Amino acid sequence: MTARALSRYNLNVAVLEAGSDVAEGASKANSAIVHAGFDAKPGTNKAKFNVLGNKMFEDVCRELKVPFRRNGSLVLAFGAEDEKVLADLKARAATNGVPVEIIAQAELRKREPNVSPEATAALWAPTGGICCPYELTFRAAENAAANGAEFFFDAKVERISRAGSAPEGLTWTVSTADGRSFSAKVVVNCAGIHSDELNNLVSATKYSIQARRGEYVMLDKDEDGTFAATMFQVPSKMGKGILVSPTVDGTVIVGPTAEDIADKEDKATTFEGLEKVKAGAMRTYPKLPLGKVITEFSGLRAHETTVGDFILGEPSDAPCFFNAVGVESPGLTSAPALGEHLAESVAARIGASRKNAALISQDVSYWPKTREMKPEDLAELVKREPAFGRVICRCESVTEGEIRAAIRARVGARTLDGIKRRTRSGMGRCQGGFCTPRLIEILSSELGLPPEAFLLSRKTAPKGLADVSGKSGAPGEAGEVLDVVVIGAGPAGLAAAVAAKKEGANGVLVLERDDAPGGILQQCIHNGFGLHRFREELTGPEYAQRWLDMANEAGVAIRCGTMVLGIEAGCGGDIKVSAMSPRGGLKTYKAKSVVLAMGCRERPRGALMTPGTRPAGVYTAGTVQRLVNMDGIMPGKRVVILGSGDIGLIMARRLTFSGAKVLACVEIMKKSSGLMRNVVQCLNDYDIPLLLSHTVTDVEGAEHVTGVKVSKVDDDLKPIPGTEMHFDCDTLVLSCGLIPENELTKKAGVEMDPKTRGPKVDPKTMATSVPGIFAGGNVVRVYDLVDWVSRDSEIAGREAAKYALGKA
Amino acid sequence: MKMICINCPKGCELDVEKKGNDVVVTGNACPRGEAYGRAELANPTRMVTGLVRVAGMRKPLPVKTKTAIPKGKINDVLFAMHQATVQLPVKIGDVIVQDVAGTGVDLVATANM
Repeated sequence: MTARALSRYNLNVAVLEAGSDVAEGASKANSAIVHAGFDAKPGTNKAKFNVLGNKMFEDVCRELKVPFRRNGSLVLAFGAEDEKVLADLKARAATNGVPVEIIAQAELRKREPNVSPEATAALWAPTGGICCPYELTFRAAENAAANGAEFFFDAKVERISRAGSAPEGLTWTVSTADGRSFSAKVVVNCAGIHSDELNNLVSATKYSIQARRGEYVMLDKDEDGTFAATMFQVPSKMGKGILVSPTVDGTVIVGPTAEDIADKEDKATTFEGLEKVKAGAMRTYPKLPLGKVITEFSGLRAHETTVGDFILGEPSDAPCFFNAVGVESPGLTSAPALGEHLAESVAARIGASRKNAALISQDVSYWPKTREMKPEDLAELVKREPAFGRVICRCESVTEGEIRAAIRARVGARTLDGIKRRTRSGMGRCQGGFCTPRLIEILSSELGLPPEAFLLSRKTAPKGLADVSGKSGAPGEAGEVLDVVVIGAGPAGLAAAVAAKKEGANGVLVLERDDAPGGILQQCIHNGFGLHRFREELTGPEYAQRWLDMANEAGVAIRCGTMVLGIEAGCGGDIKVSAMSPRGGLKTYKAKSVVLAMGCRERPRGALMTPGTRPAGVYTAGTVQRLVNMDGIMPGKRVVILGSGDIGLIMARRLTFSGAKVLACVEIMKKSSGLMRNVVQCLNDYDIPLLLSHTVTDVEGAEHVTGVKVSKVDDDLKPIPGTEMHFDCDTLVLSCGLIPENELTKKAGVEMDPKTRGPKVDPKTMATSVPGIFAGGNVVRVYDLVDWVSRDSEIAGREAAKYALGKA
Repeated sequence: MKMICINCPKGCELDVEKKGNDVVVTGNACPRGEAYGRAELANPTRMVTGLVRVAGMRKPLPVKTKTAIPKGKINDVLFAMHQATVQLPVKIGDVIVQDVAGTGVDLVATANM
């Protein structure tokens, strides 16, 4: 924000960043709260800039085109002691000029029905808000760059020296670890957790920053609306305590802990920390659904220990060196005001004038977010730019066009994490399981580097439009009503479509999001498919081809590269299926019946709550399968597998075949979750140890995985202290279960079965609770064998055809 | 000798005993289990699936041994896969390497590319 403010003056501005991207420090990992300012100590910089910054947020977010919502904050009291603290906070709020009121239990329960009944009263601060801190940061960077600021990454400052005297003849020289040096009249120190070190290079007044780690847990978008306001508890000496808050992205954020740590780079999550987050959050939200956790992360606050406040301005012995030291919470809230203040101070000190308003660019490199667009606008966009019709991240609905725009921006993404924070691709419930290989492909094509370059680190950067498939003129596009629309061209969808045709259905159309039909079978190159169905042992692609041949023979139409966005089952009329593709744009198909065959996805690391760092080199088994078998990319050489699901076992053998050393397969339960035949032919045949009743208790490595810790667990699946063993490895593969993929199912209003996590179906007809909608395959429940997927999906297809033809 | 049959997901636990010149298999649910037990004792075999380089492309071609090969030959077969490069187009069932690693079994394509 300071660079952006400075870029509005007649100044040459360079931003030096030790990381490979903007927002690599506390900006990417904090609570995303715009604090009202009632709890900062009156008279401090924290109080002053919190209140000033808060007032600026609407304008700043509008200018930068980033989301912001004033949802208000509530501080909960649990009993009389806490209520006294609320009264103190209220008095403090009055001094700081922040509007608040105390509300009683009944009113609190009325506003927030999910709050704990133990909460006896609350302080309501209507000016509290929520925003997206990394989006704010990179749009500010884009705007600064549009006004001439230059960005230099991987530029860790090592030395700062001064020559001449202030202000006219003074020159600072800033040298980086990689040998670059920059000369400037003024240096502004916004180095966050390392801001003390920079100050201490130039001044005799020494500061000391204590890294204070905060661990967080993120809940799925299913939890959107659980709380309207940001729910705090009465604060402690270490900070504002564990909060539960909605986010602007529809998820729910829970945390943080507050723990002083010695290492300023240690962003690992810990078992104890996550337990504290859970316990703390459950005070506010007793029904905290742990099954809805999608990820965990930790961030470091820059707590200054000698002054304890934001330290701003020039040290007496370092003229034209401006500090912003110790900017911890409410740093995000204060950032717009701090930026303005620092820029004004710098300009005044060296007599720089403001640029002519007409010459200041408002550009923030904005690109359309397809998930927020109206259907007609989206259709228009896709017609002009087909890449905006190719969905890459299915969980957050991010298209290729958005990802390419994020890479092509002024301060563009150069890493997987960079794309993630700019577009949300990989931030949803599958945590990049499906999109990672595709993102690597796009990064590789945009930046002209081999795909392996992007596997080394998620955050450190390494030193054309894809071909679209799907011919136009498929049935249903002229608006005629089809008999059966099948969603998904994997084994389930193909079997359903073939069966529907055989039953006499006329227009049968299969919509497939991938560029080729076959589903996950395309990447399952091992044998073991089709023994029941074809009395032959086939590989995945062979099994898929059999069904594809049958589908072609039967006259089934398949449209690939087409993502279904919604299903609308009207009252008795035709079912409307809206879908998007790069060439066809947004289309609505009408059908008498629909078969859901979207398959399943893998449980990501976040859902397992495995502690440790978050480096590159952690993949789900299916992602590795795709990388190795379809993209020709080997993710690593020394591998540990967590979980003994079938894909994990199969990948243990595949990775061994491809030259990797698989050190162990670690399973928390007492027996393998995969089939015994796979334990025999994938592990035992190659002497790969299967460690039952063990789990991974730490992931190590800052950039890339360097090792994992494995511990034995007790009967309650809790790690037993003293049983740790260590593996040096560069890859951790997760095979911890599959979850039916039912976002569309839920949107269509179909009743769900909480046990299978799929739709409730009548096993005789595979009909769901919505008339005309049927379901087959792993979308219903996760099957062991593809043969049974085909069998049950044939039932779904046949019954869907009967329904369409009025035979049911 | 105890072993687990790998023919199907059932994974029957077999007991395979040599009695004189005869081999007796128990614990199997079907005739395939008996055949597996006998073979595993005398000469264990495995299907091998893998990848072969495609000329001018990063995406590899999936392949398999047409039938099971002796277990002791797996590494030789993998080495042969690693050495091979194919030219497209390829259809399912096309022979990629004849008599791979001297097993008498052909390496065939398992995808149309």
